[in-house]
Amino acid sequence: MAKSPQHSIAHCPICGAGLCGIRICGMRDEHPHGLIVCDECEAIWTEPNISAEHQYPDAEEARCPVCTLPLWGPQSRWATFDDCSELGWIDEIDPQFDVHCDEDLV
Amino acid sequence: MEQSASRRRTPKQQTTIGGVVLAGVIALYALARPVINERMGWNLPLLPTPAAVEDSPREHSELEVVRPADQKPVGPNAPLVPKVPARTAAKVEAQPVPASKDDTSKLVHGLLKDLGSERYVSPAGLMYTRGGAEGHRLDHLERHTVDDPSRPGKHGVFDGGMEGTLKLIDRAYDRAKTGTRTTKEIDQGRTIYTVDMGSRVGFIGGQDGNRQKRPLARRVRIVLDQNRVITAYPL
Repeated sequence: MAKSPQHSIAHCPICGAGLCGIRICGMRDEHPHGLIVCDECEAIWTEPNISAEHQYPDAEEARCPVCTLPLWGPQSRWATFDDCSELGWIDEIDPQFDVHCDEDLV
Repeated sequence: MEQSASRRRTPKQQTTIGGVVLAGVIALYALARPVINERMGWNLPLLPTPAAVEDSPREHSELEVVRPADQKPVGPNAPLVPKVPARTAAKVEAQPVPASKDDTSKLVHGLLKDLGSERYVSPAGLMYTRGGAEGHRLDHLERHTVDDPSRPGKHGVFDGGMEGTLKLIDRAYDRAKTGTRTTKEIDQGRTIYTVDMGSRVGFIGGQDGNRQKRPLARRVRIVLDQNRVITAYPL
């Protein structure tokens, strides 16, 4: 079970240490959507642009700002390369932050 | 003759002087220990009390004790890491060593009070709750007690295992509240403290840190939602 992003677009501009990882949510319905989530401070962007407005989820019951399902629920995971392709976000990936492991993602 | 005889010490006098010197050394150690720990980032042992001496063999005999392969022990009393998950391990390691008449056996990692529903509070008032990709903030924090050399970028690693880390974060939070060598940013209800602790608190690991031969870290960054810890790491 991967606890860290497999593909990221930048270091977090807010906390400085987190990775702005690409996350896919809504995998169990017909409307998968992407998020950018810092894996340290949990800042969230709903588009792959960290200059845009960010938000934070609830500290204890984090929910996806798009579909309101649990942010860390089973319908959501750190995106694989194929997930990024499905989201149309391949070009947003910064390969220097890639973790080369697409197995057992959650 | 009489003078030289008076200078000679009887065995009882020698014992008394020795005792006084020993007591002085012990008192000096007790006074200097917190300062040395603070300045050097060590964890020098407390002087044993009769209760602690009595209990200490049980503490180690009941646990399978391992050190992370890539983490060198720090100081003469480097903490031992039980080979069980973070929160379970904490309860096990905290059980055998009652430090006083208080019921410290229920403390998690030796200092966190269990409030129920997986909520824990530190002596400084920090809350550790459910949340995050790992499911609980303590499990996320535990990732900052060992290096992750494959992680892209930097990965701050605290010295001192979970207990040492939690104590350090409490100290940093106390400093932050008084503004001592602290920067503070507030963003949409999240507070980010960066506290200069004045001495080593860990090192920078991850891919970048390992390329730079793990430079030491002396600052602590704490991200809070009110008093709830979101994350904390050295930098």
